[in-house]
Amino acid sequence: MIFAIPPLAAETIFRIGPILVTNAYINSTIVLALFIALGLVLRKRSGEIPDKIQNFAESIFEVCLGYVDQVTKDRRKSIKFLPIVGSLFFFILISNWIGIFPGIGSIGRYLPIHGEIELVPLFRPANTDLNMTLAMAILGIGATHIFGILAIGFWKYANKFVKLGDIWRSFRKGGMSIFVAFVEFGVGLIEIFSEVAKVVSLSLRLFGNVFAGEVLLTVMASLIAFIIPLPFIFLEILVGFIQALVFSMLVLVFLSIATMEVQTARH
Amino acid sequence: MNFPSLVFLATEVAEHAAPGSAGVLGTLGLNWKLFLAQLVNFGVVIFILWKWVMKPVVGALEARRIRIEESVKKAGEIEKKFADIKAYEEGARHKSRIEADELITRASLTGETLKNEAAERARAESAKILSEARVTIASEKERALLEIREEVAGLAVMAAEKILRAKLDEKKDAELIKNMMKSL
Repeated sequence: MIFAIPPLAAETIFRIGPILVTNAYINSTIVLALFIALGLVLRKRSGEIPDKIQNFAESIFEVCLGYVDQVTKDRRKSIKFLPIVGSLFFFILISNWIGIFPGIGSIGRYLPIHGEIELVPLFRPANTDLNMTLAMAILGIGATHIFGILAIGFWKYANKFVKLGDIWRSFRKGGMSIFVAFVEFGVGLIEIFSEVAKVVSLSLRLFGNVFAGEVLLTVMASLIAFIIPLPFIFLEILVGFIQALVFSMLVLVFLSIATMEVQTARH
Repeated sequence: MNFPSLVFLATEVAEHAAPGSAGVLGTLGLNWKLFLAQLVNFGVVIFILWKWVMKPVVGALEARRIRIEESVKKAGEIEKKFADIKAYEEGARHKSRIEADELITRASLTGETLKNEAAERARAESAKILSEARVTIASEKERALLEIREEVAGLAVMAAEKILRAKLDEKKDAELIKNMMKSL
């Protein structure tokens, strides 16, 4: 076999004690190292008069803040959300684009798998590992809940999901409002499921897109090695950007919805 | 190699999931240890981007934005103050010009009055001096006339005496002088 379609699960390359090191994990660690390097370069740059590097970083974040402002309509909220949303965007973007680099998916070790010696790639795009995308989705959605609670208070926030407060108020009013309150209570329970669905859809969307892209590139490269894969590589550059944007924008929207005051229904 | 066999390969290699996983989730590669490892990785990314990158950079950006905003506001205030000062200055200049004009008018008016008064006084003074001079001249003239008259009388008597000395005796002489004196 001259090429291998990447399996759904990331392959273990080696293990350090109880920790499995998979090829996707190696990639995410490389991206992490890149960000650490970037952090080290930028950490002391907060001067009133920026130098070239600070200027460049500022111009990027200025644009980011502008986009975040369009959703939040509030600069203070934007600054609060930017670390989460920006980290998601840049991490996904860089890991997706690194995945297109030559050598990712092709350099590997020959390891015995199911009794056969096969080439296991040393590097695999970080987002082709569902663990990675799930971790980001859970962190993102978890952050929306934390920010929501911090913004409007625990009880008000809990009342979005378990609307016992509404039922209590409806009993005072009586009549039709009791029925409406019970319906809304059911809606609140559905909201809980929708939170789970958010995590699942976010993680699977990103995983599916990037994994499909990786498979597509592998197949194309193995059919005809030259020229033909190029348009697909450009496509993957685009997909990598779009997926990063979609993931971070969705988390941003969830964040701004979670931090909004709930309008208590008037019956 | 055709497509069905490719798909078959994909499903086959999917079975090489990391150990410690099972079922559908295992097939998808979900594994709690790997999940935690990736979570930590991404957590560190968030931490670094937040603490080392966004905080200083966005902080500097915000600080500059606020400073620019304040500067623009301050510049507006300064401009307004400058305009106020200019308006005040203009007003003051206008007021002082009016006052100066008024002063000049008043001064020239006073000067005119003073001049008139002085002229009037001078005229009165000269008239007074003139009348006094007239009076003095009149009295001087009177006195001079009197003196002349006496002088003339003395001369006349002397002449008459000289003429008559020879013809008149002592007695007649005394009488004549008496009469003369009377007629004078």
